[in-house]
Amino acid sequence: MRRDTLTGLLAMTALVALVVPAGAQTATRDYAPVTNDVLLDPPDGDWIMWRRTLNNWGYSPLNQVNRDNVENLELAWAWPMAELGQQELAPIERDGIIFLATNNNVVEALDAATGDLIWTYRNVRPDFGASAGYHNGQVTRQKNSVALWGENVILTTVDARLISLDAVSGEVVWDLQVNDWQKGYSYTAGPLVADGKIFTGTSGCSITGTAGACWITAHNADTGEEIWRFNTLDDPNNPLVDESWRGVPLENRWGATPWATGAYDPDLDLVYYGTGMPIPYTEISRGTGDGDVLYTNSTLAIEADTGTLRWYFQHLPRDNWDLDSPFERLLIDAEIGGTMRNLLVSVPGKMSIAFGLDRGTGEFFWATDTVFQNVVSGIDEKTGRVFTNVATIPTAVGEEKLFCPAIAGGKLWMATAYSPDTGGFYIPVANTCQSIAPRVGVEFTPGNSVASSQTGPRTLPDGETMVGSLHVLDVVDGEHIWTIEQPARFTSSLFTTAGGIVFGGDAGRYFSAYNDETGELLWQVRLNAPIGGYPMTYEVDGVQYIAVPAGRSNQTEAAVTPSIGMPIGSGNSVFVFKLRNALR
Amino acid sequence: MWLRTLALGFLFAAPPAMAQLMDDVTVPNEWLQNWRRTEGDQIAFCVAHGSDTAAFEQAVGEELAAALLLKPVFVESQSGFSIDGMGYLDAVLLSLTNECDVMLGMALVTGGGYPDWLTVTRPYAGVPFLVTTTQNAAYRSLGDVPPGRTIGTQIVSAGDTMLYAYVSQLPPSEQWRRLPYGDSGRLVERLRDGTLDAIIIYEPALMTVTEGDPAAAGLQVIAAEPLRDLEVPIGAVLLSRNIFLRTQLDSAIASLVADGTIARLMAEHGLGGTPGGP
Repeated sequence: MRRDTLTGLLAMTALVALVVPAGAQTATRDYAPVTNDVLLDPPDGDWIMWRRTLNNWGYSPLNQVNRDNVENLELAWAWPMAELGQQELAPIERDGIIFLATNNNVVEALDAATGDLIWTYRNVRPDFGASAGYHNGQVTRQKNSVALWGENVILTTVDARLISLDAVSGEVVWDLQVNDWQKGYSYTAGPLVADGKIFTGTSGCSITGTAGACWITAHNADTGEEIWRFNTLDDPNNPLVDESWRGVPLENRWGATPWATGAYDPDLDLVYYGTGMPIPYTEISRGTGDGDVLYTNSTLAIEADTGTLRWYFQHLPRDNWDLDSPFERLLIDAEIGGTMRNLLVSVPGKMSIAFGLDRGTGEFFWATDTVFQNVVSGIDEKTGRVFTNVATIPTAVGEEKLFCPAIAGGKLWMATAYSPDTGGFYIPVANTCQSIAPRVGVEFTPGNSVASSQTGPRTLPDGETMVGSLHVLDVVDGEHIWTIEQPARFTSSLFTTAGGIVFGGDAGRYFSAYNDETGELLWQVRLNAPIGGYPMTYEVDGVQYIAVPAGRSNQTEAAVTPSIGMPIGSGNSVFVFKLRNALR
Repeated sequence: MWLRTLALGFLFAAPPAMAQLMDDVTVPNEWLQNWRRTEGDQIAFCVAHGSDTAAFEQAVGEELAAALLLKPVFVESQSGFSIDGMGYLDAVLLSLTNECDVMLGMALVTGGGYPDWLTVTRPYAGVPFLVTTTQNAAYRSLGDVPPGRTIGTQIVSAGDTMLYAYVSQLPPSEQWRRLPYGDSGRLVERLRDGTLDAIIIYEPALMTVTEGDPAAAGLQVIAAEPLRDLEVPIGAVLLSRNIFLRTQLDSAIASLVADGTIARLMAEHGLGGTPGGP
């Protein structure tokens, strides 16, 4: 299908958007609509969603770049990001167009082979003003993945809107206010599109105005019309939820924020989301005693058509440390005990324990520690019930407890990957600890209900010397296959390829390629800033490209690794590599 | 005039803040001005947007500026952060680096609540939390509320913390149930509809919710016993590099407390509590 891209020099300022086509020339592009079939089985050369496929593997079947020639990668082109803030870019590629969504909800479309700009969409949002401190910070920490559907690019925004853009022109197709940002709602993560629907996980559920409601929503992908919403803080169908809050009524609950993108199983027609910690961090402050506080820190398996919860699994009950568990869930089929099982594999939370569950039922298969943690004392081998280590829970105001990993993980938003070629589950984590104490004093400005538990500086666990840690587990049983430890934290997501490589980057500005079977370092390049976001790969006209975001990171662990000098500047950019002497 | 010259000389001679290695701050360095603020004989005060004590803070700022022979400028700083305070210190650093010299209306948190790059003045006022019931209630003090009844608080507030600290020392059979709220209006609403037997609320918040007249709203303030020390010390914070200015402000605060200025301002703005802090 051929679409006209530009009709001359046109700069259109709409009420809610500024779309700027690039250049003065008239141009046309081929762009094949993204159908449900495409979502279920993307072309090998495209990376059409956050983790490329609905199962969140972060795996590409491309193998032009492989163990034998990866050392011949060279820079093809680079591009600076439009806005300051954390570099958490998730490039998306389809039909030779690469979509780059950055902080403050700017989306740029570039020619994926040349780096030529096609269009820019600059979201026009409300002036949040002095009353919305959370949102003024939130614009710098967007997770920056968009989703594709039909001929459109689907975008979530900091002011809690869902927007559909024309993929070829960048013009707004529809624009929907999903939640009220003035109550505190926002979006951190990008949407998931599957089964003709858009699924979103809401952020901002730690603001007083959002008391009692934090949402996962489903929308018609063609129109944005809302189909259902599920409240992660309430469930009239499950009396255990109220019981787990120990009598704290709904209007006094916060947290359980689903602030990462979900996964989808087309056979089970289930969508999977993870949730964050309860607010306030400590049970002393929130008044929930020894309650589990459902559905915080849980995997939620929700029927895609109805929004009905099929099952849940809580990975960290009774959280007291802000060790939330919203991160990516991977859907993997593997043979266990002679039977092919539908697994959900994940390191769901900052406490960095890997879990293998049955994704149809939530049945527990295995759990494995990665980095040192002291917040879980045990897991029932039959039921999977997680036992929180009560020895690390502050029991009095001002009582300081050391907990590991620290508030920034362990595991954080930097995504894991899976390779069907090795059966390995690749996990970037960090060795850190930190102290916490329910604050002795008061809010910063009394009467506004904004305070925090008092946290100490981050440290290494006793006996550890390396912050950066990359673990590879066998998805069948969670057994370790190999591990890399290094001073610098892995600050980017990982991805794997059929070329036998796992790629990832660190706070020391190195982007590296490892042998996916052994962990052998095959190639690395040092860029301008910590490696960030979600590196990925795609193919255009027979040439495989590797896109690498670099820039500002809040997860460098600079205080624990002072020998790694960090740039003062953000330098948010994307670097795209291809093999030397590749045709184009 | 010597005081003005001295103050300005030291105020603007210190090097700018460099925050790139601050663990607790995540603001992009490009947003932080790295030049010395040159404001002539002005001193800029930040006051939090929507603060229940904003008018009082501004009055204090005007008196402090007068004492330092400077002209006050007031800047509205951000509010509306998450309960866990995420991003708050970023905003404080941005404001104190780019917009204002002094941030007023700050609780002087004990136990090391502020990072090393902030310094605090002495308190200029102690502002109370009040135990409040409906006028129908027969209680004369918090201690009259029977065990098992529900006390509402403002979540993560000093009143909330103090209540928890007290209740946690009691045997379970003698404890009240504590229920923290994130919205002062909802807290008062739940007191009036009978969900709560009593509430512990920051006095300025109570005045805001009841438009300055708790009695007209059917409420009464009762004695806090057995709780004590329900006043929060209120002062100002500055960047640690501004140690000379902090010393000058401390002296000015002491003078304004001693000559009755702070007491007058508190009375004018309907604040109970103690000039100079508890």
